[in-house]
Amino acid sequence: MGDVILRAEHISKSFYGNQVLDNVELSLEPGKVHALCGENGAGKSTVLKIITGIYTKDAGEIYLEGKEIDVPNVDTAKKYGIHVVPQEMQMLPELSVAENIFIGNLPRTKAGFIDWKTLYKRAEEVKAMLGAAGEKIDLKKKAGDYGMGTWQLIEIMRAFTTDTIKVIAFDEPTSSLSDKEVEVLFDLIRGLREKGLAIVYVSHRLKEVFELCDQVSVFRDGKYIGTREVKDINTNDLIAMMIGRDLNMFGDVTFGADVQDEVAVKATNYSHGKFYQDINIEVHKGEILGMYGLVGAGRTEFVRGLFGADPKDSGELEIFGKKVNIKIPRDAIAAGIGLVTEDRRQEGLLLIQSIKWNISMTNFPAITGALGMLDMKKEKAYAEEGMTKFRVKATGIEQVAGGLSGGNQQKVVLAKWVNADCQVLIVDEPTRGIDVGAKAEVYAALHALAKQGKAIIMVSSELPEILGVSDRIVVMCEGKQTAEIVNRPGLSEEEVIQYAFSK
Amino acid sequence: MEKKKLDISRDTRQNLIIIGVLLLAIIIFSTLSKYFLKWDNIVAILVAAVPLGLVAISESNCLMVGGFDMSVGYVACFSGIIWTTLISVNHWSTYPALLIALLFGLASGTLAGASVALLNMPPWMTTFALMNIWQGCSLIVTSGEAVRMTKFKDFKWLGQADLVAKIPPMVILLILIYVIMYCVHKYTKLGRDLFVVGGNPEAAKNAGINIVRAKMFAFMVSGFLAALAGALFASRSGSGQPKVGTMYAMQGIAAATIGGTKAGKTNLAMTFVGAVFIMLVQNGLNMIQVPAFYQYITTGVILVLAILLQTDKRK
Repeated sequence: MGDVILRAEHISKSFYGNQVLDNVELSLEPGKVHALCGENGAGKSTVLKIITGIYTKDAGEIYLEGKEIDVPNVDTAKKYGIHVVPQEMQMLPELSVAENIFIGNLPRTKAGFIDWKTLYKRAEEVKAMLGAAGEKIDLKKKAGDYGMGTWQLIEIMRAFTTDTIKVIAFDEPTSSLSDKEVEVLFDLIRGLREKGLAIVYVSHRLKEVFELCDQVSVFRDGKYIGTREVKDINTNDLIAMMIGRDLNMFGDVTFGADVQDEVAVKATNYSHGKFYQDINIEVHKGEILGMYGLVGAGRTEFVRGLFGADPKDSGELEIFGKKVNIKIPRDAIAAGIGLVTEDRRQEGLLLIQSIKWNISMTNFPAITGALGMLDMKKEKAYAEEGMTKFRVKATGIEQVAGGLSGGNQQKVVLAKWVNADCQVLIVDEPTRGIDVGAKAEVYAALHALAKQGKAIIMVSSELPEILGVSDRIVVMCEGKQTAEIVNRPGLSEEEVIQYAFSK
Repeated sequence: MEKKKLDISRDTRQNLIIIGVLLLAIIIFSTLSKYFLKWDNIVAILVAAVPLGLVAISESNCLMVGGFDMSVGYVACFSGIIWTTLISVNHWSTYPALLIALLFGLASGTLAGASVALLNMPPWMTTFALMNIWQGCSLIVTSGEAVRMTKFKDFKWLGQADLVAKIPPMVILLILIYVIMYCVHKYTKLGRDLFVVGGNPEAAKNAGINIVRAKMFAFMVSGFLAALAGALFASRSGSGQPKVGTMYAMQGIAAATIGGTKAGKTNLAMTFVGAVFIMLVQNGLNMIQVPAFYQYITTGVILVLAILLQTDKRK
């Protein structure tokens, strides 16, 4: 390896007796983008937070340009030229962009008032460092007038307010950005690399690692696994390092194997304003129907309409040949339909309550006895069964859902439905924001549900997922149904994606 | 993983702190006043905690579904007025009159619940409005004078009879209601709905839970228990007081907050401790002759400290 600007050795960290980092190391080189990879809970974010002063290490040494340094807090890290662009951005939406850049360090006049002239002059200088990415930003406008993409740029500009910047770390920077904004960010990061900065990049999107990064360090269960040059490895190598075994994410599936003759869902003429028009689908027992489309194609709106979570203008629904009229989710559940929403924290989980209570939510008909009394034994059994079946990693059914990792939260959301008296399960973006290992388990869970004879509608924006899991694929584009394809081994992404774009 | 341990210890730690502070208060007051730990005074504290204990359940349920009930104090007040007036002015017999007073509370709660659950009105506005209406009604019916009940013996039974060891029936009733409500929370679907609806309304909707019913239940129980609180206070004091209950809403919220109550979460046992705690401090301050007006301040301070304790400072 070339010359090292920052080196961390023997770093260990525990939270409340739980060791999250065990003797890990990291070496950063100037002019390189260094990815930190690992499953959720592997320790990659913790490493980033320790070198940038957000957390303090329990043991270990950090060397900057060969000299040992101590970074007890973010301010000290900044003095050494180590900056972080946090995942949750801290913005004051009512203040101008320039004020946000210099917040905490606003230039003052002798009388103690804010020196606006200097502020804007220095802000212009900082903005100039962004190059093309900064052109569209008006420093005098309120930060609240801009979206997350610009906020990220503001966070980056904050780092440039000191001249000594040497290291800049990004923690899941693309998780709330649109594709366009991601491109802008990537160009900017490449620009920073040209300038000779050392860049730390934490992301669970492996695609980004290969697109942007030069080196990658992998962590697993708080341990350092190794560092590779990105050009020397491929996705499978990386996944193998992350999970410690080879992984066929989608399992050995024969498409259509579990599909039965009986039609479980027949939806005809579903329309709702500009969101979707005249959608017709059929799903068989034991079938996984994938619904693919670009963001805004109307898939989520359609399935929410099916479920009664959002209104619809028209549409007739038959469940096992019986006509049902669904106005609110309760009607849908009574008809045997379940929905796993896109945003599980907002719409699916009781974060302050136990796994058990979360699983019970959808199982009340089965666990409620005479006089509305809950059958505690049955409740416990259901929760335990759900946890085992979906391999939820937790201390037990009493663990609070808010303390679980994203992947395990998603497994709990799925487990809610496994015992529920539901024959049709709609899952919207089932693997969003969860790591590869957990993804594979979610896919396995979906197949298990299909094998049970449930009909599954899976909305997804990830094409590999659609191709890897679905028995049949419906493609939508701008509110219209553009294709229906029976899945087969070797079906290409191109064949599906062409229908997702308007012509 | 670490979060789970943290949460459990956090809740337990908070409860231990509260019980510790309670014990500390007992020690301080008993050194300052010899009378404080006498049995008569202990019973007096328990008796004083009955109306507050009831409205604390009211507020726990309402807070749990993401609302609160400002009207409890004046529902209690008007309920006492209704009961005493029906007996002394309209010559009703004791228990039918009590039934009407309680039905009034239920009706007020139904009104509040319907406007919150069906019309989506903000709970504070609705219950604030109701509070003013019932206050006005109490003053109109009584012309601002207390309704004297000295000659009605039956009426005083709930609040004044010596059931066992000088404990009046109202204290037993309070404990009974706490046990029932605890069981409702723990063992029934309806009770669980309160937690789910408050914890995540969107998730509750998607799980097919009847949100309207859960909210209605919380506010109806709130109105009913407030009316019962007012009736018991009237029975204890032997009169219908048009100015009782001004502090109930705030003290009830304070007690519930001490019990760790927030949207989607509560602990009724600790809520009970909270109610006793507030009344114990008030009683203790009386014992050491702190003027009653300072007690507004103590309730406010207790509420702020309780909230401070419950607030997640990690964020």
